[in-house]
Order: sequence, then structure tokens, then C-alpha cells
Amino acid sequence: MARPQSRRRSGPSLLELPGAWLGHHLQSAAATLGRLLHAPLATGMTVAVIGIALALPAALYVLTDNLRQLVGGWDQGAAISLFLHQDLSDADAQGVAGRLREWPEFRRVQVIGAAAALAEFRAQPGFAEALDQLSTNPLPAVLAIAPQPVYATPAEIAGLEERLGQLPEVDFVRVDTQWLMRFQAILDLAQTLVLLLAGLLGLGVLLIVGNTIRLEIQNRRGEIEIMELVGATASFIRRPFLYAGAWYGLLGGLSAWFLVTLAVVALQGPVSRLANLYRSEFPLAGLGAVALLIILGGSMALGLIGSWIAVNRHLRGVEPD
Amino acid sequence: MRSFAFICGQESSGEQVIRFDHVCKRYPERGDALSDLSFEMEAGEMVFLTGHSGAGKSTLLRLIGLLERPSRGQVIVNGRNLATLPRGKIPYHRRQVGMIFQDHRLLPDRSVFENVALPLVVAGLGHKEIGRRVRAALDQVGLLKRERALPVALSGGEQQRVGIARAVVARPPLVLADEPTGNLDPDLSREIFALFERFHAVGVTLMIATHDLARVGDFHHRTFVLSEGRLIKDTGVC
Repeated sequence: MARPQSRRRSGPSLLELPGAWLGHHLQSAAATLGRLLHAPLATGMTVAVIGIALALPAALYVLTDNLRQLVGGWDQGAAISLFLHQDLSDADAQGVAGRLREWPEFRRVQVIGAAAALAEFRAQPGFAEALDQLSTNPLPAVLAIAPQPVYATPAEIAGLEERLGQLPEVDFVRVDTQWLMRFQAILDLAQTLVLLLAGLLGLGVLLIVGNTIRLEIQNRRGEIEIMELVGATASFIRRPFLYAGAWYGLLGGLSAWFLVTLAVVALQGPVSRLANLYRSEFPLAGLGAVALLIILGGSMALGLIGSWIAVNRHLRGVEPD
Repeated sequence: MRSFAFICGQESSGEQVIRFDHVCKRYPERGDALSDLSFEMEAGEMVFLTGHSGAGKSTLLRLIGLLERPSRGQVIVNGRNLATLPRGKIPYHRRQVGMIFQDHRLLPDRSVFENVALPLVVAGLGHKEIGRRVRAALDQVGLLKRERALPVALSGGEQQRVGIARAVVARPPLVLADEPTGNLDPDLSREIFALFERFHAVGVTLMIATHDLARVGDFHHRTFVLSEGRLIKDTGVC
């Protein structure tokens, strides 16, 4: 006959505890997922709601990301165009360029000679015939200047514009950056909107998961009471609900990723056609690995927090009677 | 019939298992359920708790299982004053007390095996150990062959035996039963009481609330009679 239990608490020894603890967690996570998948309709609806809520800010993020890339591509080109006097030769233009390359403000100074400019125009459809009508080359030499990024602020560009305009060789200065900067500002605004929207809809996900878990607790009230009767600790009872919240979040994040990827694939064709009309190519970027990780991690955390709140609010009220 | 060695009870050693010290329990809506109740129970004793319904039998058992706390007085179980037991320790106290209910309290969507395994699962025992102990407990109540069945597929007597297996599977030193035969016919209830008698024989401390006086008369065990929340008769250890 074994010894009385009052002197030896039944349960795992300290040594086997970490293994049993980890095992229990894995088992609990798997069992919870199994339970969720056992009710595919209810789970699917909750997951879909979370997915749609998260897909919205994610899609907006993809949009601004793509626009930024588009603009970033243009940004590589000249921000300042320096039109020299008509009578200057290409050699003179090279001389001016050489002097300007000494300026620390400039990243790149490129000479487009009059002849080269003409050739570039000729290559454009419809221009060749028109240019043939002219006896002389009407185009001046142009210096395409890209300022260093630190000097690419509106104030700095304005200062540069004035200094360059005072050079004797310069006919006039054109700055292309104004609209780019405005666009940049709009993008920044859009990004802030993405963040705000993500915060708002994240709160929504928190409430969705919280409410789902609250209902789950209500449905399993009898089971929880019996677990308490046979000596289940609060954390043991909490655990499956927390895992359920994390699963809801993770699955919702995955479905958000799926929705956004679907949208990107669907839009790729029309975007390519549009880019073709501008004689360009523009491969749409989807959600990158980092963005995906942030979405999945964030959605899982939201699910976990939502269920944590629900569990703490509603499990306390469940006492065996 | 196999021996009951798997149930780890205590020999009657004079060790005090339960002590009630001037215990009162008052419900705001229906007044005193128990008033000034004092008694002691030793390890290995089997006690019948009788009295009319509403006499306070269930309340008394609920105080021992810490489903309630007394309004006044002290309840001491296994040398521990339950009044000073912090909330987080309640589960560990309940693991030392097997509880059996009139309505079985089984989980309808779990098999007999899973229902009986519950106390071991919450205690964090390993798979093999759980399987071994659950089958031993089911064997003792004669339901080894029904381990895969759902509770609804069982008769009332069988369901109660599942509840009993669940109460003893973790080998608690103390088992409480609240009207365990309330819904059973005399033959079945005789069977259930025979089970209790066998647990008693291997040293488990039992407290059984019942108004089945015919069954109580069959055995010669200490009997408490409660009336309106007071202990009006204690036959003493027989």
C-alpha cells in the first residue's frame, strides 16, 4: 500500500517539471487549435473579421510603400536643371560642371550637351520630323544636378537656386523638386493615417477577440466549474483561452496577408498596363518579410491581449456551486 | 475483485482530518444554514451526514471543499485552517478532497476516460501515469469497458460510478459525497454504498451526506444528524 497522500503532493516532481510544463503548453496550444478548427464556421468568421480589419491598414501601407518607391526612383534624377546660355559650347559646359563638382552640396553634376539633348529629343516619337524643320539646334547645354540628400530641403534648394542663378554662364535655373516634396509630404501624411488606422483597427481586433473569448468562457462555464472543483489552478484554466486568443490573432494576421497579396496580384496587371502607357515598368511590391512578421506578431499580440482582458474580467466570476 | 490498494487512504491513526470549531454559515437571502457547528473527524473514519433537505448537509460539505467560506468559526482540514488559505492555494486544497455530487457533474462532451482523468490532468501528471491510474479507478467501479463512452450513453448508476472514479482517481485522503444515491433505485444505491464501504476498508476518510436512512441503517458507522443547521445527534465512532 502506498503512503498517505497528505505527505506527498500528487503531481510532477521538481525535476520533471520544466519538461512537463513545456509539454503541457505545447499540448494546450495544439488542443486549442484543434478545438478552433473543429468549429470551422465560427472560427472562420472571427478570423475573417480580424483579417479584414488588419488588411485595411496593411493594404494602405503597401500603397504608400509602392508610391514611395515610385517617387524614390524619380528622385535619383536631376533635382536642379541648369540651362546655360545658348552660345556656350559643350566644352564651356564641361568647365562649368567641373567647377560645380567642387561644391560640397552636390552629389552629382551631369552635362547634357546641346547635341546630346537634341539626340534625346529626336528619339522621342513625333519629335524627329519637327526638329528636322529647324536649321540650327535650338537647345542649350544643360547641367543636371542632384544635390546631396541633406541639401534637398526646400530652404536649401531655394538658396542653391539663387546662387546658381547668379553664375554668368547660366541662362535660367529650374528646380524640379517642389512637387516631389509636396508629394513626399502627402506620403508622410498617408503614412501617419496608416498608423492611426492600424491603431484604431487594432483596438477593434482587441475587442473582437475579447468578445469571442468572453462568449467562449460563457459557453464553457460548466466545464470551468468542474475543472475548479477537481483542483485546476487559475493559470491552468486561463491557458486554453489565452492560446485561443493568440491563434485567432495569428490566423487573422495570416488572412490579412492573404487578402493583401491577393489584391497585389490582382492589381499587377492593370498597373503594368498603366506603366506601359508611360513607357515604363513598375512591378508592384507586396508585403515584405519584415512587414509580414510585424503583422503576424502584432496580430498575435493583439489576440493575446484581447483574450487576456476577457479572461481576467470574466473568469473571476466563475465559481463552482 | 482486485484489491483497493490503488486508493491511497490513511490508516485510522487518530490523526485529525476535519475539525469544525463553532462554525456558522449565514446566507443573506435565507438566514443561517449552519449555526455553531463543532465536531472532529479522524483519519480513516466513515461518517454519514443525515437530516432533512435544507438541514445544512450540503453547506457543511461545501465548507470542507472550500466552495464556501464560513461566516464565523473555523474549519480545519488536514491541519490547515481554511480561513487563512490564500485564494491561490485553493486548487491544491481541492486536490486533497475528492467530491461526489448527486448530479454527477460530468462533462457531457468528454468520454468516461477523459472525465475520470480530469483531476490528474489538472495536476499535471504524465500520459502513462494518467492512463494507468484512470484504468485502475474505472476497474474499481466496474466501468473499465466503458472508458470510451460518453456520459449520456450510461445509466444513472453508471454515471454516478464515473463521478466516484473521478473523485478517487487522484487518491485524495478525504472523499466527500453529497446525496450520491439521490436519483438511484435501492439496488443501485446499495451498490454505491458497497463501493464506499470498500474505500473505507482501505483507509479513505469519507463523509457521505444522504437522507437514505435505510442505507445508513445497513452500516454501523458514525452518523451525524443535522436539523436546521445544528448538529442534533452524533452517534460517535462505532
